[in-house]
Amino acid sequence: MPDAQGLAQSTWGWPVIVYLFLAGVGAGACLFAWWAERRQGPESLVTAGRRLAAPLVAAGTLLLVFDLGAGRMHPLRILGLYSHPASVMTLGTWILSIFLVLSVVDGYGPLAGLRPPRWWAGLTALFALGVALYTGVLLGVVQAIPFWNNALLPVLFVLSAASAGMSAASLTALLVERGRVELEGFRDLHRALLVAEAAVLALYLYFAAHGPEAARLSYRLVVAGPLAPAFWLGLVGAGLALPALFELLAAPRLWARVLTRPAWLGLEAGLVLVGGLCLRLLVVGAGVPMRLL
Amino acid sequence: MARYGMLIDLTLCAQCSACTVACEALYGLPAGESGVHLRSFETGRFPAVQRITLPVQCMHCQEPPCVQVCPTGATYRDPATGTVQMDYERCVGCRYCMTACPYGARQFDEAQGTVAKCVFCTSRVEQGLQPACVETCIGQARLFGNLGDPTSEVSRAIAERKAVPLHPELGTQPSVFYVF
Repeated sequence: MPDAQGLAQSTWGWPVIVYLFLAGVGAGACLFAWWAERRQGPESLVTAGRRLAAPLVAAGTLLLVFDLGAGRMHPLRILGLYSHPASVMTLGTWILSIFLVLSVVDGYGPLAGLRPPRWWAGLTALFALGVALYTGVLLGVVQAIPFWNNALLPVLFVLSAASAGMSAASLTALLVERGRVELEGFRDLHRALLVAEAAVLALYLYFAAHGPEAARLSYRLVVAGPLAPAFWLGLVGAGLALPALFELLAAPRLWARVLTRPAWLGLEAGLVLVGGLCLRLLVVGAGVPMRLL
Repeated sequence: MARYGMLIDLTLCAQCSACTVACEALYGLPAGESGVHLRSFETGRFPAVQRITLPVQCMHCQEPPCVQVCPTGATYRDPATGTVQMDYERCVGCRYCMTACPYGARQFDEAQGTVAKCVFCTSRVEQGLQPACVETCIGQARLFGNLGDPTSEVSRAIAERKAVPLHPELGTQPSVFYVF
């Protein structure tokens, strides 16, 4: 974790960053699977999204459990996390738990001969949206860290989760089917998500740059401080600009024959995932608490 | 219904750290995990700059953000004393309260895996004693008492010396007041 010159919070580090990423990708994959199925998308793509959801979110949740202090030493105490609904973390614990049950059945039920009713997938997708949203609200309600205390953060996390989840499902389907997956029908959604995420990210940072002193410091850490490489190379470069460039060039004619090859599609999906991880690293890592005086 | 509160008069504070040490000694805390920390700030703009050092501890807010975010209810406001307390048996060590405290008044106790902070020495106060930091303060910069009683020594001193809480605009209603 790059030390943000001792200004940023150090209470939450890598485990939380990776959790936010995995929960986002898992929830996004589930949302994408639900949407792709309604659009009669390729079955391999729908199945990939459905089966990615539970393991990714579960892996992230395990990371969180291992990042606990006393909860790791006395596992029974973890049940207490369900008990204080005023806390976003309690709400998140409920949402995560329900989502894990729903998504395991949704993704793996058919393998065990379980045929959940038709509404099950929709309900799972609804809770996936809940998972993606709450991760942003969790940080968003922290008034002590002005960079987090921004209503755009949950929106940014949802858009990024949808984008990264879609990429994870595409990448998995490409690998499983050895490149023989028809992704063309989802190009518009992919492009819309990229544009929306870039726009909300720009707004989010713009408000930070015009916010209280601590938020302005966070902004400086992101664009010019020790976190700048993760921002310019990871989030802006790999996560947004390169995928956008691929999309521009893949417009019919120019490079279309090259850029629609599975290897390129896979690379683009991988880049989006790198961007998703960097976004969470930047938000958590640049959270500067307000000064006492 | 009492509301325990404290006045810290920085004009009388020698920045000697006796409060920090007394707290560590009383509760057997490892170095650096005291309930009171001295923190220094540079404030103002050139040429009107100054360096202010102030003892920082749990402000025992009446609207505590830490209580709001705690997912287990391990940290809670005790209505009988108006203080914020910890139930160490319920704390899972998620540290959400540490991110939420605008005063940076909470520390992670690595050994116990729980979050620790100043508890206003309520067990001493029940025995009619002063909190350890108040008793030990060489400059008598600290006053402790009931803010719920406008005639108490601490309430009168806060009014007379124009003491102020930190970040009142957040609406946390701290019970620790400072004279700058």
